[in-house]
Amino acid sequence: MYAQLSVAHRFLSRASLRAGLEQVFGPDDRAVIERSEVCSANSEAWKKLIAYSIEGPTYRLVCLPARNDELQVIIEPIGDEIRRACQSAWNGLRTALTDRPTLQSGEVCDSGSGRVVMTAQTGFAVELRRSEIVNLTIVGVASAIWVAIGAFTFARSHRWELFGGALPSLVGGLIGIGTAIAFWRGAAIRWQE
Amino acid sequence: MARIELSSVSDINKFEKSAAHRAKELFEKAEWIVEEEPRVGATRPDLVVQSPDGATYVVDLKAGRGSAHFGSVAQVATLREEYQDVREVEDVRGLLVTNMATEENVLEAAKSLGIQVVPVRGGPSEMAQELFAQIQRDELEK
Repeated sequence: MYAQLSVAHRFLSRASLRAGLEQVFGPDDRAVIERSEVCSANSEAWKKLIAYSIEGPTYRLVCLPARNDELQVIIEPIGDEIRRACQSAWNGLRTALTDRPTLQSGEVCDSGSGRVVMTAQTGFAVELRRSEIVNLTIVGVASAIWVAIGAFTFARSHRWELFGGALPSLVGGLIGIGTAIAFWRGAAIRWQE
Repeated sequence: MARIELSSVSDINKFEKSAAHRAKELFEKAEWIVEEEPRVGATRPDLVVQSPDGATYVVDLKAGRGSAHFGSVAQVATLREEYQDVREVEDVRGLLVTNMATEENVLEAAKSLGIQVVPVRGGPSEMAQELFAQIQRDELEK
């Protein structure tokens, strides 16, 4: 299994891209390309094409800029779970590329066939759609609307009681939205099988 | 024609399998030897096609949105190398057939590795037809 990510970032030359990556992941290591499962065929040709490669304790990282504002990355886990390896690499890439790079696409592929096994997504909408968050948020928003209607109509004289009764679901809604924001800011990758 | 959504893993895999199956039918009609997802050592290319005069093509079909990844090019190079080693065949061509956009650097990588990228628009049928037409063109040019 290996993962391939495409990351959109601000315009960067090949040299400054490599400098940013070296600052975060360490010095470029060409020998990694020979050990790479994905780039092992014609490794000499890949050495000329690849902009940066490194091997850490848990994954191998091979990077090629598709454009001056798009970096393509291959992540090969070494004794680690692939999703954890990808999250770790993505956290490093966000630091290396600065100015809020975005994950355009991400896939985990089977090494033998190249078939896609999982796809990756990031973003606030993705977090909000997660089942454990969407339920809390819907209940919270529905309760807020109900309280607003009640406060001006049927419960005009019992506003505090109405608010008190709706408080648990309102808090739940806030926790849902807060959790979505926290994971979004942390750039968690969500995987779909 | 209905719009093809490629947002889930099953959509992508269905698209690629359908294109491979249709391409296989086209090559078989033309009396070529074609294997769909053959086991070749540790790999499983989408298609392996042999022309009547013995030329061999290892084909990877790649459906998706956005830009084609250089990992797909690397994958074809690996499939081709494995096929050459396991079946002891020389001069095997590698083809990446994709409906995704292909950036200049990825094309350059493919060229350096001797992998042919075949861009396609439309659904699985169009992908199969374009693959068939491309290989026919390659055979004529030889």
